[in-house]
Amino acid sequence: MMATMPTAPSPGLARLMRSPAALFGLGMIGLMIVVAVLAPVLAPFDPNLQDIANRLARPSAQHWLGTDGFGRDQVSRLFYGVRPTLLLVILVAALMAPLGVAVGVVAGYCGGLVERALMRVTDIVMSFPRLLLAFAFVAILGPGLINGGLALALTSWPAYARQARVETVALRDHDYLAAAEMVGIRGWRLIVGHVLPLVLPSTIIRLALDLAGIILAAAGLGFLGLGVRPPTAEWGSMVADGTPVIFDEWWLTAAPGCAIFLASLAFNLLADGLRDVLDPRHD
Amino acid sequence: MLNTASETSSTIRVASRWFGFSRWRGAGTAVVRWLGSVALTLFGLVLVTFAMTRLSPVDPVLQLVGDHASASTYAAARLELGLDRPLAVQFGRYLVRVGHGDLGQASSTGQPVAADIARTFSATLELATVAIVIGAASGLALGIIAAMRSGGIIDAAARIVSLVGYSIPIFWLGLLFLLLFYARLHWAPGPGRLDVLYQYTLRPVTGFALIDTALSGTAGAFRSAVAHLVLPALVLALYALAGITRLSRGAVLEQLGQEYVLTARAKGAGPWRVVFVHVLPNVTGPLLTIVALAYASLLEGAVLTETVFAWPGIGRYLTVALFAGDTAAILGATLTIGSAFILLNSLTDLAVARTGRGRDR
Amino acid sequence: MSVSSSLSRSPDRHGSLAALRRMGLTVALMSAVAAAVLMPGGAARAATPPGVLVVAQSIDDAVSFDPAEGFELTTVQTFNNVYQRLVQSNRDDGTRIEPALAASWQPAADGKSLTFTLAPGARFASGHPVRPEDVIFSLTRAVKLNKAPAFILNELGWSADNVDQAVTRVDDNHVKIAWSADVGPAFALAILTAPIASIVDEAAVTPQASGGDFGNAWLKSHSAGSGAFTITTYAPHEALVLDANASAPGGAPKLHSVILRNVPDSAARRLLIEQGDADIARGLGSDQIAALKGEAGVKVLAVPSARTDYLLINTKANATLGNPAFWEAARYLIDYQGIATNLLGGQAQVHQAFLPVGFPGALKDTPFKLDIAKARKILADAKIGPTTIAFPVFNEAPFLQIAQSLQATFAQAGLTLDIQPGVASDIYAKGRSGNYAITLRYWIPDYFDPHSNASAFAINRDNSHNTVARQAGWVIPELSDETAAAVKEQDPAKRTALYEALQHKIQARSPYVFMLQGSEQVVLRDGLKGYAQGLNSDQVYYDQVEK
Repeated sequence: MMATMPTAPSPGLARLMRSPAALFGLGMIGLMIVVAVLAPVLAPFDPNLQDIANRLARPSAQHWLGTDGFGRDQVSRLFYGVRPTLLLVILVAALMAPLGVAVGVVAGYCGGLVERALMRVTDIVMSFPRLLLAFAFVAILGPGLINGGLALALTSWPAYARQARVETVALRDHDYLAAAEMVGIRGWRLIVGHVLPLVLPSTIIRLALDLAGIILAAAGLGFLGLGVRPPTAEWGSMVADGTPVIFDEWWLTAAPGCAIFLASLAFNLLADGLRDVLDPRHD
Repeated sequence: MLNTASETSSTIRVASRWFGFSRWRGAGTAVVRWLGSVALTLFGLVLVTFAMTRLSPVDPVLQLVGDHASASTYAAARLELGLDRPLAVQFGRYLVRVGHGDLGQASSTGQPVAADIARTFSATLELATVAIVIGAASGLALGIIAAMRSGGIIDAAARIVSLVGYSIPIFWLGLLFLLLFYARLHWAPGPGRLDVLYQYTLRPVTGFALIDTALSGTAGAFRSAVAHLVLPALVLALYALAGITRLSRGAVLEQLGQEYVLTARAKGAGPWRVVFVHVLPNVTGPLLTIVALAYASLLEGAVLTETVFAWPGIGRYLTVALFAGDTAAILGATLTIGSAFILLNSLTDLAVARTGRGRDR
Repeated sequence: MSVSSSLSRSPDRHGSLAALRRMGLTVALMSAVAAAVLMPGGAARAATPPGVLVVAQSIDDAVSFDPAEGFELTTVQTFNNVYQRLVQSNRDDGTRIEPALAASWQPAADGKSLTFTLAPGARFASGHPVRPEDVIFSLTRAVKLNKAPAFILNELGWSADNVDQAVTRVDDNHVKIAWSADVGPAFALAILTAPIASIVDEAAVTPQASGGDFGNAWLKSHSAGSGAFTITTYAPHEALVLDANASAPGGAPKLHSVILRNVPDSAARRLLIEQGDADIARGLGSDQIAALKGEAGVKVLAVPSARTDYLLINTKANATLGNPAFWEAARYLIDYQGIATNLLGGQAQVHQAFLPVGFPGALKDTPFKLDIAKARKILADAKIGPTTIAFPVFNEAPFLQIAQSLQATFAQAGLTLDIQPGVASDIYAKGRSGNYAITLRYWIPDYFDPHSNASAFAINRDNSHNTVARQAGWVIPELSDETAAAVKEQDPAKRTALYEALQHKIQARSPYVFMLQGSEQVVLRDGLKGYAQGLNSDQVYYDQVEK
């Protein structure tokens, strides 16, 4: 059975620093944050400035990646496109993991009818066609960054719930919690103080792994026109905008596609590194 | 397509809890309990889907009659779709009809939903099956070798393939493949399931283009079916391969550190013998589960690939239905995909239970 | 019992592998792909089978191939090839009405009915002769079924209760069609050219009817007409296959079949036509067309379309939008020329009246152009300050493109347009419920007569009928009277003058800003001959096509 006992995080951090893959991922994420914050400084043009007399221009000294279908500078849009991607990642992470962990921990801790009911709901949500469900949610809520994030979070939490429940159940059966209960720590204090910290490491690994998938799913939403509203620059919708002219102005599709790929890769690399650090079985 | 592979462990655990046959005394009780839990899950699936179609801003009547239609036409269509009844009645009626094996009429295609699904699901099934065969064969091989040669070149390659497969936007890859292999190199045929020459001259028997063309005895038709499958199947296979490689590598690698492996090694077993005779029987369960989950995720996750390759599958059918507010079609397709998902999970679990549980400690 | 406890956290001992080497490989892979993309193709081109016309388009819109029900582009374009009507619009000049299943017709002295002589010897694809009973069956079932396009026949005053008296048999080859609406025979003939007036084979349909549906369920995916083709296979979202009807009264087609293949992605459609895997491709974007123009093996056919694109303002949304000064300012905040030439390159022309060019009386002048300064002054004079305006838009080309151009120009006058992309039915529902501020819409005439457009834009007495004017919350009793007078007018010249006057009024002051008239660009393989497409959206003809 599961018998994962977490290690203390501080030596792990040092080990994370020694993993080139994780460092590289972390570096790329850091770079994304810098670009997102400094986009107004870095971008040579206003990303929404239209110049339809100069649309679909080839890459030049002025426009390194040419201009899009509205004559907007592609490089500037690429830079600004980091923003919705990161915002979405943060939003989804902040919603999905806590929701899932809460459901899982409560189910695992309470047991009995509560557990059965919560896990049944989890199973149901889990057996949905997830990406399609996210599309449906966005269709209901209307396209937009927040709605996209909500849709992805609402469809992705069950995995966290399951994992958290299994681990909580393992703890419940373990002497550790019995000991805590014996010294009078019960209920919410026990959950927050003693169960949650032990469930977190695996949640973080899963989250890091998932975020890469979230980036892809968000790009998929953007690609289908369900992402942020125009004129906001977003990579998935930039790929979609470039698709009709992919044979002639291929760079308009290739550049945001690469950006999505690299962003997703960064999170995958970080996840790999985190797993190296946080997974106790390595010792 | 989110977090498929990483779901594996918890899914297995929960699946084994829900469907763990050993728990129940008699096989009969187990089957009854299993059917009960499946029915409950499907009921929840239908309930949530139904609620969603009702919350959606899509007006199924306007979608059907358009904006020019008269008020009386609008009212008549609304009546015909049963939308005038209270929600609970609509839902109850739907359940009764499904109970009688009638999935209703799709308002967006004018056809019975069952017929639509039979056609589109077989297309998806064919694509996903070919993709999973390619993805599983190469993914398992790559994963196992990578575990055996941990730290070597193949391991590095496996890691790159897996990372790329996990990180690449699938719709984009599909477009690039079409551009490269169809438009530029002319190695592969274009979007669609068959060349037009064959597509509408062959009588569909099974709904699977590969089988139908093989049965037809026309070599050209079969070749055409294979050729059309290659690109979309490869795109999906890469996606499946990413997860399978990573997880199978992990599963095997973990075993290699076990005591029995060390014992076997100490007794002089070579690396291949260790893996094939000692390790693999112990990881058959996890490997099966990994493949089955990847397969399930292909069944639901092929929407974007289907769009790019004009593959008339169920993912696209469901998407079109969603945008049309076609409740009957949405419910029918969700039920089908959900059932396939649950069925795959359960079958895997059964197979795992049969093939022994080497990892139980 | 646990099968596996930790697959997701498999031990990973090689984290120290050179990440940079990995990245290097990845980059190399990506550049290989990119390089190959740039390589010129050289292999042999594919070809479609002889005698078979392959059309690459989206057929996802198709709901029903029953002419009494189908009202989507794909289905109405099919009706001309599968069914015939009593009379038809000329392919080149839609205002000219020609015989089809009726050889001739005679208006009654009171101008309230027409007697048609059926074409002698005309037969359906089934071999059944075309009889007055078929005409009666077709028109009455269309009214009684009351599906999407039924409102077109309702224009004649027909309802389920009175249509049986309106369409009557005279003798074996004469049928009389009467109407109670206050319209003339010319208008009635125009109505009878609409797809819903297609004549179906009563003897073939009745055996398939069930539950009083007049064969509707069966006709959704089958055909029973006298057109050049018959439907052999219809697989929704996949393909529609038409086979030649050798005994077609209009002459046997030159092809033996036509396959409409559903290719939802326009980039894929372009590939198919470029590679020769399709003979015709529809619905390509202007940039794709521009790129194909230089290609060998394909030619681009530009067909004027009767579609008009306009901005619809909800006068009831708030005081600003109800202010005619806002309507006027909006007219100067649109970069008409930029949108038509640069953005939509050839797929639209600047057009600023509600009747499309090609309809009698259509105004061709374009008094408005982008003039930010003038718009600012109009807004300032009316004390309209900076404001944000909700702007629901169809989630597809070219509407989203046009909307973004408007967003940029309106912003220069302090008006922030909040674009809200949505599916068509969502946008329609918002229009009906008045739950929008401004929106971008298009209008395709339902039949070949100015009244189809005038009745939409210039009739709204008391918000009782669902016209575009009602959706704008714009009550116009006087204009409604003028529209009613125009449709009644029997003298063609006078009628044209009435429509010109109506258009001038609406052009100058109304909550609509007409911007563009569409132009369809269809891509054909070089060898293709005889393809015809007319001004109205249903006028697509495959019968004369040769390869």
